[in-house]
Amino acid sequence: MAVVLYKQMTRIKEEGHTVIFITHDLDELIRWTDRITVMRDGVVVDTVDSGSVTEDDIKRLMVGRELSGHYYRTDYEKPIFKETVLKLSNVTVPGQIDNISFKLHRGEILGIGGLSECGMHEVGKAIFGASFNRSGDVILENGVKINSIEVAIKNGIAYVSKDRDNESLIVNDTISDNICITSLDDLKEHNIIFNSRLSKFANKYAEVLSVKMENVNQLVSDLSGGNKQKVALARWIAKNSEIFILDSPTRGIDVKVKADIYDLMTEMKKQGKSILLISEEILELIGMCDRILIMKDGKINGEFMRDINLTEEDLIMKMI
Amino acid sequence: MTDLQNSVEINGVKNKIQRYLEKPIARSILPVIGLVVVLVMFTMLTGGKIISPLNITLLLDEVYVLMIASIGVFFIMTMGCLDFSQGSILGIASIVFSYLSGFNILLAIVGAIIAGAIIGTINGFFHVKRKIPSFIVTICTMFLFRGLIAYLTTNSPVYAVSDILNYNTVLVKLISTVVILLLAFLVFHFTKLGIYLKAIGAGEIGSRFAGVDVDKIKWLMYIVAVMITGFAAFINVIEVGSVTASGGSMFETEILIALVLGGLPITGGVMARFSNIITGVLTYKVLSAGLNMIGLTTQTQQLIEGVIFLLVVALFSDRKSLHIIK
Repeated sequence: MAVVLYKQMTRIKEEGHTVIFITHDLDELIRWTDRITVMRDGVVVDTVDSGSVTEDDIKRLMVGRELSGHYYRTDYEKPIFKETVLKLSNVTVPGQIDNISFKLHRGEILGIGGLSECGMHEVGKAIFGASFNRSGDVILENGVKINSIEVAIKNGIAYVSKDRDNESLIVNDTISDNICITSLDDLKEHNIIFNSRLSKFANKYAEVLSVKMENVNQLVSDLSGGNKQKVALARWIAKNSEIFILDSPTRGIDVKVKADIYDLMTEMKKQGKSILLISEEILELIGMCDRILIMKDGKINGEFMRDINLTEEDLIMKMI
Repeated sequence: MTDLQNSVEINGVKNKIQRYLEKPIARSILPVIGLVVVLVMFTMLTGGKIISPLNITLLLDEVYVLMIASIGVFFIMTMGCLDFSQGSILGIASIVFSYLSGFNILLAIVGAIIAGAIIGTINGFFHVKRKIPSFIVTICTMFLFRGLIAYLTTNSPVYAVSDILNYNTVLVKLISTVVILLLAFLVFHFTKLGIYLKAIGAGEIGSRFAGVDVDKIKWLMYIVAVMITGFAAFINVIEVGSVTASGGSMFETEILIALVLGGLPITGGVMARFSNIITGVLTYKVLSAGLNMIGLTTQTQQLIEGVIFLLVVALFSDRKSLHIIK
């Protein structure tokens, strides 16, 4: 099929028109274009002639930035994990994930990276029981199989989605309801729920996360992106979840809150919680994770252990 | 001042009003002010007749059925759904009640509630399982059961046993209404379900990701809402003793107008207040009684009610979430 597209592109070019071709596939990029402009973080890095570059040159341009993450973790000693808390075996979601298996350990920050369409975001949903049409097993250490969101939450799994406004939060609801909604069973007394108790509970955890707000009865939609994310995290910390699936937790968030979230992750790791960090930011993965899985076309294409010498290039090589 | 400044100024005021209307306090107070305004207006227009003791008694007598049935719809609308089948349900449940009233009054009440539950199950099935928007589903069931009512009442109205009218006392009606209101109030304010209902109205996907079994709750509420209306059929029949082909017709619209007049956002959600039911039903009844007393024809009354309904919806709708009517 692609050949048809290339033919059309060539025809349009020969007729004297212009084609702008946007792609991740470096092979076709070099073969079918005259000039290549590489962008990174919304900024043009360089424009080069296609005839004079190799794939490696392009990759270098795509990466070529110094590690600047002073707010990431600073420890690099080799972690030893014994206790598995969650196991995926042959998990498949048609069109998204293709037969994935891996283990998550207690106290581990496991990263999943890849290009945005590689299926990594669906992995989070699949574990949380939110995927339609999932096959394969997601099993906890105690043998419980996670097949629905209700079961996942009941068994200490927390999920913060990449889609903050629709999935992570109920934005048109109050901060209080958003924080308390997963903990209602712990907050009720003989099936009765008192509003004052909810407010107190919500206030406590909003404070733990230092959410900037007027009061807990404010709507979440009034908050900034960073504060929304804090509310989303507060809900699961309040629930005392054991396994945190964080999908792009620092996306669209200012540096200050970003640093707070990284500190929080480090703190949770110390407490023995397990974190699955799904991220499109390579530096974040290298800076925060004990182990990184790189996905490509719905499959796991590479695994890296925490290492001070790990470079962005290493990871990108496995993504493309 | 230039035109531009002028329009900026006007927009500023508009924004302020809009923002005020979105505040929870506005939603609690404005409907009460509305009720007072309507009451004062018709007191003046009717020369005080509307607040005469006799008329107040008549007015309150008309409130019960609407008040009870509005409770169920309030729950449904809080979830951001709609139910247009209430009128037909009231009709069907009234017929079932009348048929069974010859045997035993309790059996008749239970029968009416079960009849409602069956229709609610149908509504819930098509909305939840077949993913059809609730207003389409319930309009369909409205026509379906309106047809059935017409069929059952073709030759003559369906009569209940004649001594059924003995139950028509203020005590029976008042106690039933207050008990159901109280139960619903407790559920809405002091249970998990109440919080879930508002959450579903505020965001269905977000609720699902917070572990709320949205489908189950929606279906359950469709059943519960019409069971409540099934009970309202009992009050309905003891007031008149029989059901005609028009039994319960336009009732769904009355409920909808009442709740919206009470300040319930048409999209539901966290702004839903339990007081919306009481304020709304009272306002609606005063309004329709008033229009009646100043001598307007039924057609003109409907016209005016329609205009008021539209105005209130336009004023109170939360534009940010209007796309989520289910």
